[in-house]
Amino acid sequence: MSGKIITISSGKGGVGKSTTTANLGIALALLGKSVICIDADIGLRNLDVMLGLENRIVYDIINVVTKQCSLRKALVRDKHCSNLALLPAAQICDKSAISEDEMERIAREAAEQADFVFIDSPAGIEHGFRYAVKPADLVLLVTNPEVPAVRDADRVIGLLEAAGRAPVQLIINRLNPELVRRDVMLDADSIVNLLAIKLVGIVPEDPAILIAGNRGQPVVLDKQSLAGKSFRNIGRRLTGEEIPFMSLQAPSWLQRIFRFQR
Amino acid sequence: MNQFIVIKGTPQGLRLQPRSNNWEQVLNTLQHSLQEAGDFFRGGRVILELSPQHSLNEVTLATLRELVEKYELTLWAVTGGNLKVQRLVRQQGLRTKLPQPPVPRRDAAAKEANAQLVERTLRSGQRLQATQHVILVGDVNPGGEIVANGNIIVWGRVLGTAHAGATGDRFATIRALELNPAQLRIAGLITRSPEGTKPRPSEPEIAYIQENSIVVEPWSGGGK
Ligand SMILES: Nc1ncnc2c1ncn2[C@@H]1O[C@H](COP(=O)(O)OP(=O)(O)O)[C@@H](O)[C@H]1O
Ligand SMILES: [Mg+2]
Repeated sequence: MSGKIITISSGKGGVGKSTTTANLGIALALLGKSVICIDADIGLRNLDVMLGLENRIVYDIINVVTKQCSLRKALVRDKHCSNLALLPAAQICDKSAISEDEMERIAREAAEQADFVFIDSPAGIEHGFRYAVKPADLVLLVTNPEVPAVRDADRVIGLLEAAGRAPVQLIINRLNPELVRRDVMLDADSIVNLLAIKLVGIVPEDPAILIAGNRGQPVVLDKQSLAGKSFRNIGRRLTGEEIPFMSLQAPSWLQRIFRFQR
Repeated sequence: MNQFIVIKGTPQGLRLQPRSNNWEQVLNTLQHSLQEAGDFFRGGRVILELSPQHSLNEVTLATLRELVEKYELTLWAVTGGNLKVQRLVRQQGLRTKLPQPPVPRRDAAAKEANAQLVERTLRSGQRLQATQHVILVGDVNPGGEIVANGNIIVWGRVLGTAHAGATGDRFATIRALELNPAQLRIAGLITRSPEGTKPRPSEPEIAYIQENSIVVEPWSGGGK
């Protein structure tokens, strides 16, 4: 078997890459797929915390690189879904401890054992970003509806296109429909229009995500949460299902004025 | 479509097209729209576009002027009125015509210099540099840059920076389906878009040098 390798990337930090990785990992596991999440943010690991697996870690990705243990042995089984496993980042090393080729080798090996492999990329466009996207069959770019995040996303798309890398698709995270309506936040249409890549999902701003991250209980498990539903929908889209987008936004007054004038 | 006045924001200025001779209603509607737009148009120029059927007296003109100035706009030109209106407008020190692009005075060789055709999106951090003219089919995104020693034509949106005549050709032009740049440069001149204004739907436009500054106006095709 050879599963699909999907790297979650962003350029700008703090936009929700790890949140997205944890939630999509569980979303696909809930759909019955076998999933391995690789925390590639070496030195700053936190995917384990978001999944509530911190206290179960014995080995990490660097132990696998240095052949101190096998991949299978380093994987931490998720407590929510038995078909989801995490390959944790190392805490004490930095990103230079792993090369692009080594990451590729580990990701391919993981793909032999799972339907989906998610790689949680570090922020930035340096070495950590490059090794995270190297093995990808698909890059999911996470951005927030704010100008600096979109600018960085555009830069990352440019780098991936120039390198002839995997196709890139977009997730807009932390959209606040009320702020969009008041015309103080970028709306999804103008972001997609600018970045000119396929949109796979819009995740609303949701305080439940913060709480969920702290508790190690990702929001995708919460049936009531709108953000959780967005992640479940993105998961289904990744399996090839056509799921219509939920309606989150109303047109701004400016858009209305211009529509009126034309 | 409003029954009394149509208002269009363009880089050249705010274009007002009255649809009625009932000036009281026209000015009322205008006041209402400016109020609603808040700071959006502030600091801009206003162009009143009349048809020959419009009447306009001194008092109405003064009222309009006062009204737009209240919103920190400047009445710049009144175009298209009949002869009487035009005389009044000139008396008030306003333009009756918008500046036209200069007739290119370049030699045939320069005019027919080769153009490079590029089909892609210039994304943030990317720069396209051409030694002659360049035609880009795609957008120049914010943070992207297109530079040519000759003219630039963008069949798309310019949201980043464009520099035509980069080696000093002051007759160089920049044309785009939508010009909403962070910065435009022609030869040694630079303009930037006013701070705080938001991009708006737009029509094709051309930028060129006139009287030592860069002007932007609708591009209706053709050789200008
Ligand atoms: N949709 C959302 N609504 C509210 N908070 C969010 C959302 N997505 C992410 N966050 C919060 O943003 C912070 C950064 O998220 P994280 O996933 O760690 O980003 P990254 O991995 O890109 O650095 C976290 O505190 C997280 O709880
Ligand atoms: Mg992270």
